[in-house]
Order: sequence, then C-alpha cells, then structure tokens
Amino acid sequence: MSFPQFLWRLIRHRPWLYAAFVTLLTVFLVGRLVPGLMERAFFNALTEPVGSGLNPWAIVAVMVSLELARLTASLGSDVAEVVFRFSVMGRLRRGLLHRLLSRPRVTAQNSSLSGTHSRFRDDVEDVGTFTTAPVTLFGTFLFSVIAVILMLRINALLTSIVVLPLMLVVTVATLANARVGRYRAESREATAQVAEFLGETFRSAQSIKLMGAERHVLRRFRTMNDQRRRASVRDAFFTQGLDSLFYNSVDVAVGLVLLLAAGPMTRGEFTVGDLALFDYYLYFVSRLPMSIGSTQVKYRQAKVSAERLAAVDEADLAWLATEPQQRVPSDRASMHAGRAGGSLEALKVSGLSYRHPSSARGAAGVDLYIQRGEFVVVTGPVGSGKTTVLRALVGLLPRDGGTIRWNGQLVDDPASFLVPPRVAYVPQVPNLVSDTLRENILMGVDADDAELAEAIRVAALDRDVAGLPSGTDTLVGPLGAKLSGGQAQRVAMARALVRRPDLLVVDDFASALDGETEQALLTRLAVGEAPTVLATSHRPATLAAADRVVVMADGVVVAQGPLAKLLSESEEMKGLWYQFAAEDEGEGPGNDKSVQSAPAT
Amino acid sequence: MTTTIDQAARAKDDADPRSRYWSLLFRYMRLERPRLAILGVLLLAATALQVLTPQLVRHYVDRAVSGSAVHTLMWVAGAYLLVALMLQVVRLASAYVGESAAWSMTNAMRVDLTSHCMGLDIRFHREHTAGELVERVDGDVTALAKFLSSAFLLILGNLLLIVGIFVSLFLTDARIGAVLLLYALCALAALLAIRSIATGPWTMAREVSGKLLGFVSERVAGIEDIRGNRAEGHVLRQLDELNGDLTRWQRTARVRTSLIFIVMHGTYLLGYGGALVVGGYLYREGLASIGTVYMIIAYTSYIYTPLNELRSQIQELQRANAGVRRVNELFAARPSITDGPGLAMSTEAPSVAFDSVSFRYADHLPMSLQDVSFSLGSGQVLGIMGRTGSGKTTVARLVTRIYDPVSGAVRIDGQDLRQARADDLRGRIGMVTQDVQLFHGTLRDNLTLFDPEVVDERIIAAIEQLGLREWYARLPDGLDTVLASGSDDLSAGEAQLLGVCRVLLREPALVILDEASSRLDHVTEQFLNRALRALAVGRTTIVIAHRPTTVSLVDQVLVLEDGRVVEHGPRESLLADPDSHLSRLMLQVSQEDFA
Repeated sequence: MSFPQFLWRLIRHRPWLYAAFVTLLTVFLVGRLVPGLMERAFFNALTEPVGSGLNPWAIVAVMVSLELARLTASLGSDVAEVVFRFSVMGRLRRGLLHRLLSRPRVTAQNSSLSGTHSRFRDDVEDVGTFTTAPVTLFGTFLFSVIAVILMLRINALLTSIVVLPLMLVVTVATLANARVGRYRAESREATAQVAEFLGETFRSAQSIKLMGAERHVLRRFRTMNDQRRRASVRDAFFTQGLDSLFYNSVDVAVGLVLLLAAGPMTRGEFTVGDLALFDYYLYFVSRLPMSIGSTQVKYRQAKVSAERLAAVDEADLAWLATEPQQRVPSDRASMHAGRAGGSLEALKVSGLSYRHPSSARGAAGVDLYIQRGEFVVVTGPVGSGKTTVLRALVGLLPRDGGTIRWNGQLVDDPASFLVPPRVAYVPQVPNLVSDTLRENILMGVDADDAELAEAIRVAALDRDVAGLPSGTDTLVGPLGAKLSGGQAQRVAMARALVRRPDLLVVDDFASALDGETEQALLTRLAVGEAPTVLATSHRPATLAAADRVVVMADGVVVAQGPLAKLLSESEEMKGLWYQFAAEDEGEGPGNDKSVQSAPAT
Repeated sequence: MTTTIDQAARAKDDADPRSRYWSLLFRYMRLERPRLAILGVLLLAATALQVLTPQLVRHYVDRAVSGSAVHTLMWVAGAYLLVALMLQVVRLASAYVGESAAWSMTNAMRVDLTSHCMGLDIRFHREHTAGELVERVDGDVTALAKFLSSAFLLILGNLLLIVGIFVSLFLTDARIGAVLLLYALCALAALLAIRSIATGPWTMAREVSGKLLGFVSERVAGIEDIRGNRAEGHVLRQLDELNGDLTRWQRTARVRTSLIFIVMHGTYLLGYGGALVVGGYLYREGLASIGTVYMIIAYTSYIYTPLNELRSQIQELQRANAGVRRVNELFAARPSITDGPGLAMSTEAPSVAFDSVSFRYADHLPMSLQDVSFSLGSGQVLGIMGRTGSGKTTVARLVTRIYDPVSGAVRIDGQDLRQARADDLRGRIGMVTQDVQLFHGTLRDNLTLFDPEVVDERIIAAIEQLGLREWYARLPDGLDTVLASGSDDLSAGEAQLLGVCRVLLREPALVILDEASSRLDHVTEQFLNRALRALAVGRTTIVIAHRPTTVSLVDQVLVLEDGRVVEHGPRESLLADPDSHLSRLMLQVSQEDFA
C-alpha cells in the first residue's frame, strides 16, 4: 500500500466530518478574495468624483459583514479539524497497540519502552497532522488561481513578471527540503536518545542516588542535551529559514509591482485601487509556495513516521490503516466463543520443538499428555527448556514443529485457541499496571465481588489484601511497584483463576513464595472444582503435590511419572531432588520488595 | 548552579503563582544574556525596517498620482526592495540566535529538573512512573522551548512593531494616530481579557495525553500478560476511553482558542472599517493625500498582523503556561528526608545498630517494623531472613536512609542516621537492588554510572575480582560493548552481578545486597556467591537472603516475622540450638528430603 493510499484510508474513516472540515476551511481560505476586491472598489470609488461611482461607505459595510461570516466558518473548520485529527490519532494508537498485542515476541525484541513512547506520541502526531494539512494547501491553491486570474485581467504583463519569481521560490524550496528532512531525522534521533536516557535514569533513581552518581549521570545528560541542541537548532534554522524565505517573498513581489507599475500609474492605466488589490492578493498568493513547502516537509515527516509505525511488524502500511477497523470482540463474546472445542478432557502435545535463535537452546520433540483434573509439573535444571515448552504451548513462542490436540482436535494457532476460558497462563514475572489491585486481577472480566474474593482466596492472596489500606481498590503503583514479587505472582494467579480456566499453565510455580504460602496455594488449588494444572517448578513441595512429574534436560524429556516412582528410577530426578531440597533450606523468604503495608495514594 | 536555582525555587515557594511563573523564566533567561542582547538588536532592526515600508509606499502613491517622473518612482521602489532583502537577513539571523538561546535555556532547565527529581526520595518515584517524569522533564520543557524560541520572540518583536507603527503614525497625522490607537487598545484589552480562557483545557489535554502514554507504555511492557488473559479487548476499550477523553479536551481547548481568534479578528474588522471611513473622510475633505489613506490601511493591517500573531502565539504561550505550571509543581515537590548536621564517617567498615526501631509507610498503616533492635559489628556479614512481608527490605531501606524510622534510631558507628547529610552516605553505602536497571549504553558506562574518573584498569580488575574474566573475554567490544536497556540478554542474576560490580567500584564501607528472588542457573549462582565473598571483604555487609547457599556466607542471622525480630545471633550458635528457627528450617528441609 502506498502512502497516499494509506492516507486516503485514514480519511475515509470519518468521511462526513472530513467533508465538513474541507468545505468550511475552503470557504474560509477562498473567501479571502472578497476583501481584496472590496478594497479595490473602495479606492476606485474614493478617487472618482463624488456621486459618479459606488458609495465607498456602503462598500465598507458589505465587506465587514462578509468577513464576519467568514470568521464563523473558521470556528467550524477548527472544531471539525481537531476532532477528525484526534480520532485518526486515536485509531492509529489503537491499531498500533492492537498489533503489538497480537505479536508479542516482536515487541520484546524490537522496542524498548521509550521507543514505544516516541512512536505512540511523535510518530502518531506526525501522521495525524498530515491528514488535515493538505486541505490548507488546497484552499490556498484555489484562492491563488482565482487571484492570479483576477490580477491577469487587470494587468497581464505585470502579473506574469511578478508571479514568476514566486515559482522560482517553489523550486528552491523543493531542493532545500531534502536537506531539512535529514536534519529533522537527526534532531528526532537526538530527542529519542534524550527521552530514553531520562527514562532509564528515573527507573534507576534509587541506585543512582545510593551510588552518589547523580553528578556523572547529569553530566552525561548535559552532553546528550548539547547534541540535541545542535541538531535541533540546525533543524529549526533551516525550517524557519525556508519559512522566512517564503514569507519575505511577498515584500519582494510587492517591490517588483511598485517598480513595474511606475510607468502605468503615471499614465493612469493602473489605479491606486489596483495597487491595493495586488498588495493584498500577493501576500496570500505568496503563501502558496510556503504552503507547498511546509506541506512537503510534513509529508516527508508523516511518511517517515508511518513507515516507522509499520516497521513495528516489518509489515507495510496496509495494516496500520485497516487494523483499527477490526473490532475486538467483547470479553463476554470471546468467552463464549472460547468454549468451542468443548471443555478439557485431554490435552496432547506431540513432538513440540522450539529453538531460540540467539542461544540455539530450546526444546526438541517434547511429548506431553494431561487429563482433566491432573496436576502435572515439568521440572529440570535451569536452561533445560521447561519454560520454552510452556511458552511454545500457549503460543507465546512460535513453535518450530509439533502438534497440539485439545480433546483430540488439532490446534493450529495456540495463541488464539489456548487462551481463557480454556487456558490461563501465569508468567514467571507478571507485569502489573498502575491501577487498582482489582483492575489488575479482573482485567475486563465481568466477575462479581464473591468471584473475585474466591479467586483471591484460592491464590492465597487474601491475607495480603486484608492488610492493604483500601483492599482490592488499593493502587499498586507504576508497574505494580508497591507489591512484592511474591504478591505480584499471586495477583497473576488470581487473575488466571478468576477466568475459571479449564487448564492453568503456571511458569515457575510459587518461585517467589515462602513455604507456608506455597503450601496454602497448593492446598486451596486442590479442593473443590480444581482446575487442571500444568506448571514448571523446582520446589519440592510442589513436586510432591503433583500427580505426575515430567523431567527435562537439555531440551528433551528424560523421564516422567509419579514423583515416588521417578525418585526410585530416574537418576536425573534424584539429582534434582537433592539440589532443590538443598536450595529450599534457606528459604522462608520470598521477596518482600514492598510489604503488604505499601503507602497509600 | 544547580543548587542555587534549586534554593531560589525553594525560597520562592510561598510567593504567589504568577511571580513564581515569571521568576522561573527569568532565572533561565539570565543564563543567556549575551545571545538575548544580540537578539534584541536584531529585533530593533527588524522593527525599524518594517515600519519604514508603508511610508515608502505612501511616497510612491502620492508621487504616482501627482505625475512625478517615472525614474523617481523607480528609486522609491528600489529602496522598498532593498528594505525587503535586509529584513530577510535580519530574520534569518534572529531565527538562529533565538533557537540557540532557547535550547540552551531549556537544557539548563531539563538538567535542573532531573537533578531535582533525583534529589527526591523513593516515595516520590513510586508515585510517578518514569514515563510520566519523562513527559514532564522533556515534554513540558520542550513546549517551553518552542515558546521561547519562536513565540516569545514574535510576541516581543510584534509589541515593538506596534510601538514603531504608532510613532510613525503620530508623526504623519495625530488624528489618524488617535483613531488607530483606540482600535489597538480595544484589541489589546480584548486579547488580555480572553488570553487565558484556553489554559485550563490545554492543561487537561496535556495531562490526559501523559496519562495515555503512561497507559500505553505499561500495557506494551505487559503484552504477554494481556494476551495470556485474553484482555486485549479490555485494554483496547480502555485505550478508546482515554483517546475519547483526549479528543474531548483537545476540542474544548481548540474551541476556546478559536474564540480568541474570532474576537481578535472581529476587533480588527471594526478597526479596519473605521480606518477606511476616517481615511476616506479626510481625503474627501482634502485633509489627507490618497497616499496617506493607503498608508493608514497598510498600517492597520500591520497592527493587525502582529496582534493576530500574538493571538496565534497565545496557543504556544498557553501550552508553555501549562508547562511552566507543571514544571513549577515539580520543582515544588520536597523530599521528606532532610539533611542533618552531618556524620563523621570513617573510611573503616562501620558498625550498624538498630535501636528499638519502629516504622510504618504511612500513618494509617500498621507498623512494618516494630521495636527492632540488633547490632552488627564492623566488617561482619548479616543475613536477614523472613517471609514475604516480614520487613526485610524495610530494614535495608532504613539503613540506606531511603526512609527515616518513626521511632527509635538507626545508628552507623553509634551515630543516629537522622544526623546525616545526603553527601555523607553517598558512595559510603552501597546497595545492590533485586532488579538492576541497565542503561542503553556501553558496559563501561553501566558499571561506572558515567563516572569518567574510573579508569578501565580498575573496572577490569573488579570484573576479574568477581570471577567474570571469561565472560568479559567473550564480549565483542570489551568495555565498549553496548548493552540494551531492558534486554533479554542478561538474566536477573547476571544483572545483579553487574550491580555488584558497580558497588565494588564505589568501594563503599557498608554494603546491602537484596538478592534476586528469581531462580538462577547453577553457574550464575556460583558467580554470585563468589561475588558476595569478594564484596564482603573488609566491609560491613547486610544480605537479604533469598538463596539457601547464602546462609553459609554470613556471620550472623536475623530472622524477622511480621516486622519483629524473632531470632538474632551468630549463625553457628543458632545452628547448634535445635530449637532455633534456623535449625527448624534445616530440619524441615531434611524431612522433606525423605518424604
């Protein structure tokens, strides 16, 4: 999809609003013809003998009224423009987030947080601005054509000689713009670097303070600021230099008119009214090259920005324009659709393989079988591929090979099939958001207080919630910073449970929990309508609670079966058990990054 | 400079907002006096040239009508062209000087703001996301830069131009000058009256915009969580709401700004109509030449153009207003930890003591630590253990004076930590946090935290001391190897190793290590144990132990439960006592072993 096509798609999102904007802005811009004509009529009426021409006072009255009408149009066009532009920007942001949400790996690899910041802010703004900028150019162009025709009819020779230099300016501007684009890119780059550095600085504020490194960090910040200043000054100088060139060309053009009109005026062929009209029109006609120039600059910026937005997925522009149109089904609807395929009887994984491109580690030919109600734990040393298997299973990694069958039915795209309410995945380190605890657990699920409380209880988070100042309405701070690692893990568990999944997939079960909390979690999960659980773990208590244990080493399954059987038959399991038990001895602590008594906001 | 500005801000704290607003701007403008002086000269030149042009046209028209020789007219036209070209040069020069000055000023402001934020305690940083602070320190200040570099110049230049025009008008004809002055005063009064009607909505629009970007950053960081819980629809709907809010505030702000334009242009129309009528009347009565009428009309639009530009720059001014207000708000944030008279810190490893320390995070919250007392001798290693929420990290926060205790005292070498100045502790206490944040930059910068005085030999020595020689040898560019922030390349354990290396380079006498709770692979685990041993040599060390093997490295163990000390003593004697918490932990594990 070409960039103009892309823009057209964006405009078509709200055609009537856009049409209203175009009409009103055109009326406003082309309406500028009126005062010029009126001024000419006024001077002509004034210089002719009294009573022989139009009444100059009447001309003034008509002109003032028409101008007031034109002002009203400007208000309308302003409102239409801002609403349209922000709805386009909203769509772009939405489409971008939607895309990122459907391509998790790409995000993790390609975008740092601050990169996201400048994409969602600057790039979206550039594209949004350009959807309305060409209309100004169009209106100015239409005005200029009519104005030039009117001037040609007054004095053809003079008009053609004056308008030519203006066209020359257009050429100069076109040539100079390539340079401006490069400076702009440099200044953007410098800006992105400053923002990234600032973000990192604030994220590690505590370390920097304790190390007494503020001075050095600030010095580096100054250096980056200086680089950015140089880039920005150069950028602004050339942009403004071009602008001022356009702007001043009117004075030069008027000077030329004065020079060339000297003869005709003394001969009476060119009136003072004609001079007034030229003076007035040339000012706005000279805006045309300026408008072309700045529209071009904006075009380039918008194109670069759009390409950068599209590059999030190495895709073309088509998705950016079309993605926002796709409706995401409501949670309720997707929950119902999620029941297709039947509730879990058995999940069968055969030959599942994934190799990490960077480390060449991963999992190869893994077979797993889980029946309804089972608690299966995958274990193994660090780097044995446990987490890889889980992530490839739920579609967070694109598997290289292998099949997944849900009740015997082949699952093509686990990323869209193995999701709630079939499967809920609990990551090792959950990412929480700066909102209430309730929002972090529910995330859109339509559950009542009792269901929420039940999920919290089963996740062994009830004691923590009771200790929070506002219970589930407590704000958890940026990225959940006010919660400890263990609390965050149990929030993620509650979040999964409140979705009532058939299968719970848990990476590194209870890793940040103390023994007592781990035991409480295991007990509560096992009672009642217990969900089927597939987890990775290195905790003896969790392994002991499992119906079956799957032992992995170097990416392959080396043994599986009940723990007792493995402990007597599998050398790998014996070795691991000894190691895990030794590790556990110093335990008790999880991580109490912040404690239940986090400061309230 | 940083501190002076900070102190000045503090002194101005009680002043009214308007004076604080201007004092903020003037403080930074003072830094750029030479450039601003040049700018002033350029502005005066531009004004003079602009005022001259309608006078030239008046001469031209009057001579054309009275039938002067063509070459006389040509001379006047030539002078007009020359003035136009000179204006071009002057404008370019002021664009360059103006931009340079604006960026220098706002860069100084960015540095001061960052420095100020770094001076605030962790309480502050927990309430504000990094994204939000970036938006303030960079976003708001950039709005200010735009204002200072263009809007400010235009406003000043335009005011000068208006003065120049009136001087010229009154010299030509006092009556006409009086009429136009009336118009200009009306326009100015209208401008001042409605100037600020859009400030509120602009502030809100910026705030919503910051909220929206913060929302997006967090959601992007949590993509896997969102997908795993099928919350895509929910998140997108929340985004839609924020987008809707933003559009509404932008619309309100824009409508208000448009109203300003309408009032300004309406006033101009009345002035313009008045000028035509008065000019026409004077001409008809033979009191003014046609060239003078022409000049009046030219001046009317000359007054309008600057007034109109003032109007359009009001938008920038309003954005800057909102920015300045938020910058001032940020400057007004005060740390809750204040400097005492100072501590005498020896270079020796200090002793640490908690003397009946109680602490809570806020008044309405239960105590996180209650009556905690213990002492740790110079050069000893203390391991703190306890369940989640037992207060381990709180102890670390009190030792590093991130917070002050509610009652009791934390003593370093017997002196109350409240007596300390921030500088006393700087570099004297080292802390390795659980999650070590890396900078997108070289390994060197990440280890020295940009301190240029740390020579490469020392860095490499530290790396080798931690047993990372082989790891270092594999790096493609040695110390110049670029690490990406938030990268997948390093595990939490590896990042902690870099954190230990950072601390080692500062050579603090007291070290706190909050061990990563995430699981480490065997190799990293061994490295960390070795690193911990290296770190503890000749230092007083506190380890918040998450790993069992750490226990063998400590001299003393402190076990916390619900903010109280349940056990404290030498590791050996605790292990010797079968009823101790530590022994029971061991027993529990050995029982599980044979389960």
